[in-house]
Amino acid sequence: MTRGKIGRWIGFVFTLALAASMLLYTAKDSYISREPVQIDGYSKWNPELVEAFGSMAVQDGGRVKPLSTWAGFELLALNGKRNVRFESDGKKVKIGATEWVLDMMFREEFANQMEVFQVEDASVLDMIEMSHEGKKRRDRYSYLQIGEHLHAVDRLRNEVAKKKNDGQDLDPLDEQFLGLYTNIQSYVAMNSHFTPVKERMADEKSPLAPELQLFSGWVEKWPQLSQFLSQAAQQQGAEMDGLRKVTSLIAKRVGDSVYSDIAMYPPSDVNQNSWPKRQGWLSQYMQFKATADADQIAYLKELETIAIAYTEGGEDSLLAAVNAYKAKVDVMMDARDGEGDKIASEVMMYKFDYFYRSLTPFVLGFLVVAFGLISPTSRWGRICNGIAWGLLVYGFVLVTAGITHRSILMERPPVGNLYDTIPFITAVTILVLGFMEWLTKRRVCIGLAFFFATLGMFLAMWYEESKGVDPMNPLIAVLRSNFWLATHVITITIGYAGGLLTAGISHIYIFARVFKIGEGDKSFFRFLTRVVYGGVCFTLFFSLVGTILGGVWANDSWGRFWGWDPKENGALIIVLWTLVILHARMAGYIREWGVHICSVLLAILVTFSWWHVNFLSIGLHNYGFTGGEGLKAIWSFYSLEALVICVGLYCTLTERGTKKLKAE
Amino acid sequence: MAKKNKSIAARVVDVLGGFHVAIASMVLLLILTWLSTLEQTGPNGLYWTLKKYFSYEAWYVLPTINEKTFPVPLPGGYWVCVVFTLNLICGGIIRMRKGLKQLPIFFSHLSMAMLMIGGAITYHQSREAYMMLPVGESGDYAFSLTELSIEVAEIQGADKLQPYVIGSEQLESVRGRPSRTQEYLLPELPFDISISDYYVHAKLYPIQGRAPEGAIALDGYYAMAMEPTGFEEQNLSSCVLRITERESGEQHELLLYEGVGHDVTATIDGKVYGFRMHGEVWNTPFKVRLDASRGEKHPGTGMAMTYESDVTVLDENGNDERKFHIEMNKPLRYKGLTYYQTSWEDKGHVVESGFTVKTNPSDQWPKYAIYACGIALFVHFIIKLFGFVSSSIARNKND
Repeated sequence: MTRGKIGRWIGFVFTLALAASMLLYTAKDSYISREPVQIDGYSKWNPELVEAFGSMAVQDGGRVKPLSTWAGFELLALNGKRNVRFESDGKKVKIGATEWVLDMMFREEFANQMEVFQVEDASVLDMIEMSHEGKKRRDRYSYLQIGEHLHAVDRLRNEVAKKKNDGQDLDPLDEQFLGLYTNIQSYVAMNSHFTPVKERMADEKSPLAPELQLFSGWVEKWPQLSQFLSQAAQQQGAEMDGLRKVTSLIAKRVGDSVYSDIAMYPPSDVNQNSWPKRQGWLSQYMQFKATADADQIAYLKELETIAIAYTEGGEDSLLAAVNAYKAKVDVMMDARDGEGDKIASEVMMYKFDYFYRSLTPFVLGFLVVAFGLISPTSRWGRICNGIAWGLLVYGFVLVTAGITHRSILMERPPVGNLYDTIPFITAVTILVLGFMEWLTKRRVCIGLAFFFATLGMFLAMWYEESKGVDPMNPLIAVLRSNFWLATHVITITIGYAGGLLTAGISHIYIFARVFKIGEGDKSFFRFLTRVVYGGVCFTLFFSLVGTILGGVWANDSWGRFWGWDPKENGALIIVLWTLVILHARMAGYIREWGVHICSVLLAILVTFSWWHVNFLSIGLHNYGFTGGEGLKAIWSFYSLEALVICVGLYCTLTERGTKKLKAE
Repeated sequence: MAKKNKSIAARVVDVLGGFHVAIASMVLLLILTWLSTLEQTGPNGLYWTLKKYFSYEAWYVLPTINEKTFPVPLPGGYWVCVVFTLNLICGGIIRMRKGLKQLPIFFSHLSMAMLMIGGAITYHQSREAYMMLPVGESGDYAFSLTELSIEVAEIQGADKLQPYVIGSEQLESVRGRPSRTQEYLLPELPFDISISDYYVHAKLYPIQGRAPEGAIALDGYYAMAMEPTGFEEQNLSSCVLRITERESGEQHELLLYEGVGHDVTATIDGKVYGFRMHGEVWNTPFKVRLDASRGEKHPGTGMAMTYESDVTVLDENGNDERKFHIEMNKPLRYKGLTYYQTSWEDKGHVVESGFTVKTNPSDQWPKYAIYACGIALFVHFIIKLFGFVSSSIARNKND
């Protein structure tokens, strides 16, 4: 076997190993290998009900969205996944976010057993004196398990708050505890949403007036009824015992009501932007500390209709009540300037899940290119190439459709936050590398396109899961400029894409030289260098134009062209490095190897600018801050790239030495 | 052929305009930018990090990473920028080969030089201050959030006479150097003053029992130095002011604190004088009245959606001169000043708009530079791309 063929086989195995490691790395974050929890007697919800319930409107994060979207991100924040798995009566069950919310709101006996609280480090549980025997360091727990330790949670919360107020730094465990605390709060908010109105105050046969059989009736007439109840409390007699029971029942329901902060019902005033959230209003009102609020009472009545429909009539009645409620809310939203008119479209977007679906063609395409590389000039190679092109186009269409769909829903250009940059960079990379492949037909660019596309989509999934925050929420005032988002942000992001794909080609150059692939074909290496040179020019153009446009924008927003903000500095670093590469090449300071080594360094600088600065938690580009969990991955990437640079430097020095010897 | 002897000026241009200078200055700028990005996350914050890395006083920089100073001196960013600009002018404009092919690169160099010079003008000539206006009120002055001054004025009844101002530049020698004392002669007043114990960030405490050791206690209060925050506008400074009566030689000591919203007074020769430490006041050349101010948050959140103001510029007689609308990303540019909507607050009884007021002679230079550079680079790279595409197509056909 020739050295070239051996190299190709090494390349093939390396590619497979890379694909497998990517899959495993992503899977490890959401996978905890353990026997699923047993929840016997569980029955799945009627799919029609799940769909209807999931398309109800919720106002959250500054916009009106489908309940299914809100539920998905709530579950992601708690569980790190959009679904819950368990075992019921010997069968494996997997439910989605909307079904989980249905369980939370109507069947808490099941929901509370589901292990949805993902705890990264079991030491956090030691802090709240909770046993985690038999569990892993990183594992999931149910509310039933955590709920027993709420007193300790509250105590610790006060301690951490004091520490924060005293200006002390919080350690990673404190931060994790705060995360858990927030998750418990969200859980209880969902769990108690219908609690006060789930059951009638008295059954229909009772002598009470029909409106007083319902909790909302008591709330509505509370100013009068409370007087009557307080007078009754001072009297003796068997019939008065009944009234005292009513008083304590009301007190319990009011006490349970304060956690709900879900806004699902529009206010009657079409000019009022914020939908009512119950929070402490009911409790305050019943204690005469807040005035009567017609919107809150209307909201409570609607929730009561839905809750009692399920309690008394089961799933079919709940479906009918949900549909009736939705029809009513739709009319109200129409009157509010079409608020919520994109709910159906958003439900469809999540159902279609463009980015997740695009992973199949990208992973397959990557493997097909790898198989084709074994014998690139044979018929087998040509067939593989044809299939790869088909898969690339299909995947690109999916990613572009996803970006476009999101952009239409958000009514803004496609890039406005850190998450948005990931699919956009992926799409640009595919487009540019696809164009390069069409020009050069070397099967290098297409392979790289699949690699970047797969990596990009995994990164998007990882980011969404790790953040657990809806990336389609609206932007802060200063970012609300479609002109600047469409110019500065887009050009900068294209610059990032350029830098990464250029560095990707340089990796191929270095690996090909190391593994002696295409050794006899000098034009192949010259071609790679030319492409990298073009890539550096592409990166420079977009980064430079984007950076200065950003300065012009900042000058209009904050009154300064340059503020030395980390994100701005990152972009400047890319510009400076691309200029250094081009000038050094022009001056003859670097040649083939030098250009490629510098280009690999460009990947480090792009990563610093695109990702690393978001971990610094300072600066005005605060749409991109993120927690510290990804920092390890970034440092791993830097180390890997540093290794590639070292390999490149070693090769170039060895080559120079060999040439010198030959010349002598 | 004999080599033509070059003049010294030509040699200097050659050296300054060389590739090695270009590459060295760009690499240095990159390193300085990277280090300052990391260092601004530390206790010094952005303001002091920039002073350390990019002020013209900084000839060299000793970088600090994770609160450890590395004994590797690097040239100051300001001076690297100067060399880089000279290199651009000498190498990228004067020495560069002129021809149709080189025209786009020539223009991109020219626009970058313009950007750098614009940056220098901004650095030396721009001025920034803050103006807070309630609806219905007008204002013709703004105050600095970072530069402090000390005002000395005679007080007659409820009126304050024309103040004598010790500006931030005059205070620079004692600022943040508590052991230093600086004397200021006030020939128009019957006394001179000296300033010492100037803490950049201090907290004022009432004396309960005894003041801690080292703290100067005056008028029932003492100031204690605190670690300056990274945000200079959040630091509240304090200093000790000693008044020496010129005739009698009698001395008075006052404690000035930036956070105190009124004058501290002393009676000298039967006259009452007020002393105050606060943001340097900048009298704007025209008066602005805030007619309306609106702010909106994204529903159900505390996140700002829009801030906007309707203002009227008043003439010298207080009559309406011109009306303007200001909002985020849409400032008011008028008579060399720019007003940016910075904040908005509804206090219930009154609605206020906060404006950053700025003057910058090179305000629009970056915009023109990017137009020129963008077009020039686009033309250059498109020509290159066409070359690459056509050669690739030709090669494919041959294959």
